[in-house]
Amino acid sequence: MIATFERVAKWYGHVVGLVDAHVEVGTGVTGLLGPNGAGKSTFLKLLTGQLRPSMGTVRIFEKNPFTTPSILRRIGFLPEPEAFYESQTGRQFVTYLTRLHGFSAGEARRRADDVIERVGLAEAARRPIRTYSKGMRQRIKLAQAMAHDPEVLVLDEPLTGMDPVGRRQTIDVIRELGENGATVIVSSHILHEVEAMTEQLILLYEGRVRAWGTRSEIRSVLDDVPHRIRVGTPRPRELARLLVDSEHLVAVRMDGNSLVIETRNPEAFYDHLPAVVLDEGIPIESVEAEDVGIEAIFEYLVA
Amino acid sequence: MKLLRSMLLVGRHAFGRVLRTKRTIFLAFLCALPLLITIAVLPSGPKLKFAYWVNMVLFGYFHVVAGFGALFLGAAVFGDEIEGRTITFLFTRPIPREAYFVARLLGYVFAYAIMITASMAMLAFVLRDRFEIPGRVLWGTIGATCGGFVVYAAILATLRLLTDKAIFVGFLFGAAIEAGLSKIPVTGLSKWSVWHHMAVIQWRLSGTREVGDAAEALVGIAPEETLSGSVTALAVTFAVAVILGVLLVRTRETRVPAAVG
Repeated sequence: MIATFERVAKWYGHVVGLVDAHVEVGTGVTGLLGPNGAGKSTFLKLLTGQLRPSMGTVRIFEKNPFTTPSILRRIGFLPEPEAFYESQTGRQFVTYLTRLHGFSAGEARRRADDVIERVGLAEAARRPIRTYSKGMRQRIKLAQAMAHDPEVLVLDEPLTGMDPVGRRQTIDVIRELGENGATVIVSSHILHEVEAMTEQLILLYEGRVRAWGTRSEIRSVLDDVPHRIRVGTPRPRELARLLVDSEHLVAVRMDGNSLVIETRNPEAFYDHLPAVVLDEGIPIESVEAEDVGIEAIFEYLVA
Repeated sequence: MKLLRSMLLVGRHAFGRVLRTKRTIFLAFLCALPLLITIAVLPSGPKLKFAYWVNMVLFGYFHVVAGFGALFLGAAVFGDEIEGRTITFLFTRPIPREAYFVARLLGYVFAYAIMITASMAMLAFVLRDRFEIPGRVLWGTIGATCGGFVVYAAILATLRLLTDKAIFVGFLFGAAIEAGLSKIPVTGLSKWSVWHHMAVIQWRLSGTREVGDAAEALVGIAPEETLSGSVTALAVTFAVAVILGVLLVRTRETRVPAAVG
């Protein structure tokens, strides 16, 4: 594992930031999902050594990031707040912060140019940051986080304020990094953004880690919540009559040309369905698990 | 070596940035004020007691400016990064936090030293035909005010790590301590006054009677006070402030957003 949280809690006076977080993060892209105030920024600041846990231990590459600054050489961080040295140009900003990783001036400039090109800001690189739009500011923050080729990239709401094209490009960059073996931890409160980037999730709500793992893993452990499966067929009434006696079914509902099944044992249902439809010759147009989406999972978890 | 290079980079960056702030422009104006007044009144030279004017400016004014300058610049050593939230970029680089503290403090102090030196040198140049300021008086004053500023700035920078209201707290305690302590002779509490030691350093470095009289009248310097004693006192105060600042910054967290998230 790249990073671990062991029973981590963080309080700000009487305000709870994070409670009893126990999470392991491996390679690839991990989405940190939760509404505003859920504890996402606290989680990421603990991970990047900006905050010290009130309780428990945070480890990244087996080291405590708060007391071991040298480990930050392997980490890139994109902060959520709008904070810049406004009079600097984008290129100066990235070069300066890259040099703080120990690169020479020439090497830092070369890396800055490369990464600025990669995030699509080459034309604006020599303009002061104060003239940048919100989306451009996000991109330059992403550039400074990536310039030193970190093994772990921690991104706090990287898509905020970006236009649709910028979002698409940034999502592509993040996915590409994950596919190339980097560890990317990306926070968002927008479900479909995270869904577009990764299967691997950490769900936070009110300072607590409600679940972590892949979407299907998380869904599968929600045993007390029936799985919803939509079966498209031109003969839904007949199919409903055949399925209604199955013991693992909780509910069956017709919705136009489809049947919505609720079951506590989706595997058994998937095994059972072919036999039923083949025996009776009922055509099936589609079978779709309806509630493995992040939104549905999240609704279940916070309900 | 890499750490030193990074510290130099941070110091240079801090120096470049502090020169562009409004408070620095205000401080530059304060530093230049005696020069501007001198230029304005120079044509009526015979009416002005230049010796008195020079002593007052060199002894008193720049010492006060050092204190006020440190209030604003010292508190901003880390305050700028904390309030601008850019501290998050620094604290996620592989450099110990204490290195930032020291490098930024030096960057800010250097900016002040340039202002004060330039102002005094120009003052001496403008006055050269009417009242020659001996080189040792000039350097004595520059040394004393810069030394005092460094100590004040270190105290304020450290105070800023403890409280968001460092300027207010610094002003309150600074005014109380300096106004009270600096008047008590060396045998008493004046050992704790930065201003007092600045006066001693200036007096001893300049070695002139006028400065000595002014110093004695204003801060009650005892004849037995020495240059080395005051330099040591300021050095110790500076070291204590920096060590405390380093200890505080090592455990410093980045600011938490208003809505905890």
